[in-house]
Amino acid sequence: MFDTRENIWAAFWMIGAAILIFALIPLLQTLPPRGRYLLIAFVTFIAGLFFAAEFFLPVDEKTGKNFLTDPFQRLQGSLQVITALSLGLGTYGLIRLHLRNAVQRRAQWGYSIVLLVSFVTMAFFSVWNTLAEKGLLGVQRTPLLERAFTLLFDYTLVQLDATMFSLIAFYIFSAAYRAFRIRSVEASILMFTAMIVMIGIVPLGKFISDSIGLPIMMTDEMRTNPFALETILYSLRLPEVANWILNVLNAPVQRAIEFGVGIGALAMAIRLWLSLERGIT
Amino acid sequence: MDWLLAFLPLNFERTSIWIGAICTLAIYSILYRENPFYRLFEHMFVGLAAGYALGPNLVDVIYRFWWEPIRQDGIWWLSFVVPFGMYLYFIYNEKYGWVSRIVIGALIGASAGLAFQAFSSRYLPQLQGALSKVLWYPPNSTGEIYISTILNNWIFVVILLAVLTYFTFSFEHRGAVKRTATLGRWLLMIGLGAIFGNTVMARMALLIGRVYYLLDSWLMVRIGGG
Repeated sequence: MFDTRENIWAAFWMIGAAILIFALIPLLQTLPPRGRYLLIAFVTFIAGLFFAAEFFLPVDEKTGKNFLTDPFQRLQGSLQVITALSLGLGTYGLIRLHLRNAVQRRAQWGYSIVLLVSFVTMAFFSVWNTLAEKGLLGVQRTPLLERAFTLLFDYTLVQLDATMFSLIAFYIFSAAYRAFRIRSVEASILMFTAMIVMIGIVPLGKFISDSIGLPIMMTDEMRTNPFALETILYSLRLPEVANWILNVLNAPVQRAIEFGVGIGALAMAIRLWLSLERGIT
Repeated sequence: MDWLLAFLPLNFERTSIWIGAICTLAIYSILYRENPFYRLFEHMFVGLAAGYALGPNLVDVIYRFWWEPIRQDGIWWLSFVVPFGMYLYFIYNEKYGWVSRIVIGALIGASAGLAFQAFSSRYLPQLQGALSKVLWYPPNSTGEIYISTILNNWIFVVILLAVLTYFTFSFEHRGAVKRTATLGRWLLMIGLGAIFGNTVMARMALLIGRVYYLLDSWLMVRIGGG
């Protein structure tokens, strides 16, 4: 790992930065509560300002960049690094909880052991696999890694994941039963639309449309004359109706929802950026 | 006899398929009722998922966005990123816990800044696209725009405005606004019905995938035309 000059310098910088950052903590600890609040609000504000400014500042016509573009790309990568570290934080919380369960032999501690063993085994092979893929630390791919990772990932995790999500298919039917009970105009519209879409996007829709003799193809002549009987009959095919609902009726509704969400997110972003949300103390 | 020999887990491939089938059946056993078999595999799933995330998300991301830029490009200031991110881990400490909020503040601030970007780069072009749809036949029409397109565009704009009216809470809905908002609510139901129908079918596709795995891969009952 440390066989080149670049690696040695990189390691030097990392160790130096770590010492400096952790040496700051006793200094930060001397801040009064008000100072801590201001520091957090300041960091929040500067981070928001940087990411907003990069977008809104004019760019050079030749390069298509402004002076913040390059650091912006680096900092976006850094955000991913910090987000990855926060994932480690979540994992740490999970492992801590189940370790306590196992050590203190709380109720159903056996399941915690299963979770811990699964976690350690998969973490080992996942890290090994990633290192081997990137060729890091001189790690090589071996038959043991191939077999163990295939077994754990392809034949266990992927299968469990797909099955877990397919379970929703069963529960969605009970949800559908509650949603489809016709109690109001809104529920009726919801039911009718969902039924048309569900039938229309599977081969059953095509089968029903073919069975009742609706035209199979849209010709150029039909396209130019939307009020001709043939065109109207073609448009009544269930797959066409389902497509029309999805593209013409559903698309503006989704866009309106997105606008609502976007404006809400913008308002929330301003409040967070200016530390107006309660909770930062 | 041949079928039985092929079916049993007597080699690596069949053992793997058996493990996949046992996982599938264990998770589906919750449909009957809560049971230890399900809970065992549920915990195994959580452990495996958490363990797997460490490889691509932690090692790969740190290598690509931290180690490599420092080592290859000499971006020395990036070396502060991981120690700074490590402040997050003080969250469990009562005395130093507040330090983690500096990192959380930076993440929230950056997300807010990116939200401004998202609004400008995503929603404004969408709004422009929605409001610049062709609603009339152009005088020099070449015939490429069909009357059905014009009708659909009108429907698009009317639905968009009606649903947006329903989402307007800044003033009380009365008279024409109330009627438009009611229409907007009904149209919203069409959208939600379409989303629901799509979701149901997507989940059904997943279920079909699992049943296919059990029948085809595990029980070796050849189905379909393939």
